Amino acid sequence: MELFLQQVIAGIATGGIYACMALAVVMIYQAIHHLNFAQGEMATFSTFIAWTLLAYGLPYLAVFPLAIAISFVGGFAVERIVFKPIEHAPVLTHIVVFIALYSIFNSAMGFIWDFSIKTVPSPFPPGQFFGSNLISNHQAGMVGITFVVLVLLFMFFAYTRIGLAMRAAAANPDSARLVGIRTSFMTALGWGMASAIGAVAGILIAPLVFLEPNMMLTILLYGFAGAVLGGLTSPPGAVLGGFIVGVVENLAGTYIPVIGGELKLTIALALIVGVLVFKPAGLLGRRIVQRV
Amino acid sequence: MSPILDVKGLEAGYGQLTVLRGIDFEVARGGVTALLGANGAGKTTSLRAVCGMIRRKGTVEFDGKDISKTSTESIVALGVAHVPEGRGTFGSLTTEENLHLGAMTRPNNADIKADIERCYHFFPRLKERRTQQAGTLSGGEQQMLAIARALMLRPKLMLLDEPSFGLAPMIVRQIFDILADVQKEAGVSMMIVEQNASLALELADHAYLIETGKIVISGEAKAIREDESIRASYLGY
Repeated sequence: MELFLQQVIAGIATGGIYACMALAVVMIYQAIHHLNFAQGEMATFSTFIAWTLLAYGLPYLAVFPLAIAISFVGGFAVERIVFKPIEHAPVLTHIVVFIALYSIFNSAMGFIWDFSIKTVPSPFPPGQFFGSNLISNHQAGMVGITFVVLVLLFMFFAYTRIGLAMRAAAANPDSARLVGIRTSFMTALGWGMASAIGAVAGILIAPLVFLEPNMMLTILLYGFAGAVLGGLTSPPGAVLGGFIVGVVENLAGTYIPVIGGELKLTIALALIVGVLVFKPAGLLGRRIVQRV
Repeated sequence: MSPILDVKGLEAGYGQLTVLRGIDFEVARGGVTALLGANGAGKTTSLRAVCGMIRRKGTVEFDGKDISKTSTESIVALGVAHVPEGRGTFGSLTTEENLHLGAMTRPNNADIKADIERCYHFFPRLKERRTQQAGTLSGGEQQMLAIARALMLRPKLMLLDEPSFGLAPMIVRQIFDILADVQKEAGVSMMIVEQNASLALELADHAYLIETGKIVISGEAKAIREDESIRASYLGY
């Protein structure tokens, strides 16, 4: 029983990271209807920025918001420079550009920071959370911070004018322009926010997995699985999906002997295929019905 | 007094296709202009061209300013509210959120709350539906919401695209009565595109008849309404 609880809680902790990545992917998907393959590399890049700032001796409390702010500006700039010019281009163009972006970020990180693994310190004291053997301080901190981030985002979209404008722009761009919303600016804002959320995920997971240019590769796959499971059209669904993937991944790795540590990633991919076959809209997603 | 909207030599279309072949029309300040014509004549295209949603050539002057190169969002901010064909409400958002969106270009203050109440005064049905998702409203309610959302802009000019489309005659009558009230109380200039010519001519003071991208008749609404030959050959009632 204790092992079970331990695995569920650990699953929720990593699930929060997947939820953030899933949410980042969905935010961009809502705005431009494409999946950002480079989301993970962008998050890793943000983590490297945080690592560099920490190496300069800045306190963690300053580094965390600073790295997030830089990531926001970076994501915004990527949209303006790379994606704005191709906004009406076909799907394949987007896919090629995403792959290009992926390898540019990946190689740039290797060039700037080399491919050796680095440790990122945790802002939380080492040891177990209140001495319990269920969860470590860092994991508890991860859950806490992802929770705060998700609540803040929810409030932003539910209660602010600009959040409402972003939802309107995603729901119906033509009508949004007819009420005077600059939809293209909203898309860039979405990119900035997605990039910032990715930065939170990257910085939080780094102390557990070591920092290197491919750090987020598998995590993004889990994030994709979460997004597809919850529904690509539903931000709350993506968050829920992320948590479910985290827990399922952990439990399967523990209790299904064949899977163990090696086949865990397969679960994510099997989940993506399974959901797409049986419930393509995902758990909370909206099925888009078009009158012909 | 100069017209609120003055369009000259407007050409517009979609991709390779040219729909409007150089048309002129005006909307008087505080007046209602009707644009009538059959399916495919270019009525909707005219409205879309005015607010920059499609490729266009020619001069479009709104309130004395040339807006022929201005983006849709900026034209809206100047005070042009377009109620599009098919209503264009945000189906996944609530009625009240839709109304808030209508005032998006205005500074955020208490006036907005008062204006929402004013919309509920014109459309009491919307008040009952305030927290309901717009997509779940009936066709008539969605049309009311689309008009109310346009009013939230405090527009100088409203462009209405087939407000009667797909609605029961009783609801259509109700909506046109409210439009007449709005026009009187708020003094909003309107340009209305309709297939239901008799209704539009009641509301309008001036009317244009458009046929395959050209204006064929222009005149006072009253005169057109009373002209048997126009009615028989163009309006079919």
